[in-house]
Amino acid sequence: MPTIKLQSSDEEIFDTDIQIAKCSGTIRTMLEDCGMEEDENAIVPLPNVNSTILRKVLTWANYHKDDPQPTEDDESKEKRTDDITSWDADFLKVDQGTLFELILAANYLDIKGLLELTCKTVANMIKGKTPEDIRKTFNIKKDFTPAEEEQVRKENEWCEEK
Amino acid sequence: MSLLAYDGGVDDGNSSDTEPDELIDFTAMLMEQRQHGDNDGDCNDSSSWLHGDGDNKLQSQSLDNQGYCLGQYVLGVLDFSSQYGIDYSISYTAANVIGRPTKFPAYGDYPETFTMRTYGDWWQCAPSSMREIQSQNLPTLPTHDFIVVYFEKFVVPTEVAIFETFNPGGVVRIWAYNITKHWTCLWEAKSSDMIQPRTRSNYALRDSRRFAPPLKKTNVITKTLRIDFNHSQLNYYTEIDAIMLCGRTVSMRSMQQLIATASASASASAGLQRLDGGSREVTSGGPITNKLRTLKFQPSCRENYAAKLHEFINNDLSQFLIENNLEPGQQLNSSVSQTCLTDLPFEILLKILSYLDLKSLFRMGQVSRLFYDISTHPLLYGELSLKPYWQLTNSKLLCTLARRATMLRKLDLSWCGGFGEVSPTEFKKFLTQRGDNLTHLRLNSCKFLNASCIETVGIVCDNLIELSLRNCAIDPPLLNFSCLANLKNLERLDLFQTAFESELLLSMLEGNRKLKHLNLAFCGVSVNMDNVATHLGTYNTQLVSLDMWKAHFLSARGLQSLARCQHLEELDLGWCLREATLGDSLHQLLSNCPKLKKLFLSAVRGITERDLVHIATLGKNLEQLDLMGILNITHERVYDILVHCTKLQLLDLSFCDSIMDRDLDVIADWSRLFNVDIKSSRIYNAR
Repeated sequence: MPTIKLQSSDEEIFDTDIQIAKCSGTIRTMLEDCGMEEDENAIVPLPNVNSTILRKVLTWANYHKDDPQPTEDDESKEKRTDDITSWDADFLKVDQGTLFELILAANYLDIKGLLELTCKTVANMIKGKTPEDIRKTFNIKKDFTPAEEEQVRKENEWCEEK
Repeated sequence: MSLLAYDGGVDDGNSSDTEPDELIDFTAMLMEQRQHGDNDGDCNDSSSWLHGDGDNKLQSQSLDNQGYCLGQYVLGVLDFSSQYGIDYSISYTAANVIGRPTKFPAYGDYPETFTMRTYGDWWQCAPSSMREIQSQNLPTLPTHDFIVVYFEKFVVPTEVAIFETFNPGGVVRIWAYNITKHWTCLWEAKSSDMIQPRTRSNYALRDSRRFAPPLKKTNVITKTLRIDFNHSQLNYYTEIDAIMLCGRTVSMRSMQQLIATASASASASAGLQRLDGGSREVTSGGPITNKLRTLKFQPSCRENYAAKLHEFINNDLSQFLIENNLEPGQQLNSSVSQTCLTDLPFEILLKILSYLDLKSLFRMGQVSRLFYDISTHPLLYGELSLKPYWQLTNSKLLCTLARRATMLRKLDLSWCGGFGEVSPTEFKKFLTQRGDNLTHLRLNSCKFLNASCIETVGIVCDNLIELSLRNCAIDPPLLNFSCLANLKNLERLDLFQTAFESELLLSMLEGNRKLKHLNLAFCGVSVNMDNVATHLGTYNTQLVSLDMWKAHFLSARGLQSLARCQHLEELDLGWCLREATLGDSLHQLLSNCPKLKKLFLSAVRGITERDLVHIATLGKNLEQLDLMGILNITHERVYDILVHCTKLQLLDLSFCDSIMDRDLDVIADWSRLFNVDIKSSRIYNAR
């Protein structure tokens, strides 16, 4: 099985099965555009991903290497978030910082499946919570003026618990 | 069906004054009643339903002036989403839930009960099935069907009992319409509560059931209930014999007081919202102060404690943490360097929010300015379904959504707007603002619709590909809708249980040549289906699915015309050919429409032995076949069909009387052998 070398931002080299690396749209394009596929010693630099995150991403990609390619058809896609497999759920039992960095990495590396999974996970952390709970969960500051707050509260009256 | 029965009671209640002292007494009285009910459970007693006095009410112990315990059966049906029978019939209609149980505790398939149109996931698997709009709004157990019923007397409910006499297990939610004009969910099923589908080898005899789940403790005063059903786990149609509402009665005076309490507390809480923080006086205070008070946390600094606390957090907290070995440095450092939600780029936050249900999306907008801006982005409102929030939807929400949904394409307002919560004017305003780009519009069971609303749909929404107007049947029929003739791009038209004028339908069929799915089930006696079929065969040859369940005047001539629609994959002719002689028409249909996956021929009595042979030889792609009530089908023909229709998954043979009892065991074996779900109450009961 041919491999390539991926270099993280902190200059760690990851010898990676080329099929696994190619689940990243970004890497796939680089390999194809630069004709790096034949060169056994070529190094692909990934300056936006550190070694901790890259290791996680590659673990995920290895587990999901046989998944069918997600289709582009965003419109017809179900937006349900209760379809996360137990392996994925376990994989994402990480602190928030890591989760958000995984999102950024999945976005940068263009890995649709991982981006979807991580975004759904964050959505699940928001669902069903009160605004105050959400603020606490994500350490967000309320910065409304009293008038704005009143306005938003009025718009939200329909979904207040009665 | 009329909403009048309810409105009277409320109007009486609104016109009253109250004294504050009485309010307190009333609350105390309610508490006392509840405690009383908890202690001796007199009307929760599972045997009390048996003792009737011939009326729709069962009275037990009287409690002075504080009301008495009452069990009532349904007085009338206000609304329902579907029924198996047809309005003017008495078989399998919603009206059968009225009054005392007629069959319970017997178990079986009885026409004297309320039965809905579908069961299992067969309709979802069929070619005509529709994807839910904004599916992230759906609860874990979505509602497929509902019925709204009313009772004679207002009570504080202690028990709701549903008498299920055939295939029980479909009830997922029980709602009560409060006298204060809100719906309260009294009970909701968990996924684990649902009866698991039986394996096909398990033919155990089932029992009827008096289903009375534990209700949420409330002081709701109601005489109107809505029962939600989910059919996905049902093996066959579920049948409901009766519904009983138990509770304590309340006097009209108490009700007036409660309404006043509700409005008083609403204005009081609105007042409280405006109060800022807890530095006013000791008796008020913000949530933190209150919390501290409950914890008996009493800082020595009596005055200016807010300022002192602020000082403490700013100056001394880190020292405090160090002294208590809480390693603040480490924590602070990591939280500083950690990526936060707000560090993610806009388009990713937008993607995250796109997975939220509408309620959570709105709450996210209350978090901060940034999230308000993202949560109101038009891209998040391309699809809107308020159906899962039917009980919360009102004109004001529509108004808010009209501001946000500038890119709206698909809208589902089904089930919304009952009891005047959505005004026709507000709906029309919404459509005028946002309707021109709409491609999908579903307005099933929308009680606010009037002729003028439908006219607006026709004028504004000329890009519609899908229009669903189920259950818009009111008297007089609303759909004289010549205004809908303006629509030219329809691929799906659903008029299930909606009365309309023949001429309009014919001109719509002529105008919408791309039509793929048409549902005309229960459309009333005024429409001649032979004429419709002729039109379909002439203008709508792209047709994929057609539902004519219980439609009228279809004959062999109509069936022959339908044979020109060569792309047909689904055809429901249940109960609409009745005694007609089919001649060669079914043969023509089967040979011209080789893609047929679903064919329902329930109670089509004109089917001959030869027709059944044709089904076997030509129905290569059939997956669902309903031959319910066809009298001349024998077990040989069944075998023929099972052998030749290799894709078959569902075969309904209920009430096929020529199949001898001695053959039923054999057919049950075939069901396993060919892996086809064969339905027949006799087969399962035979064991």
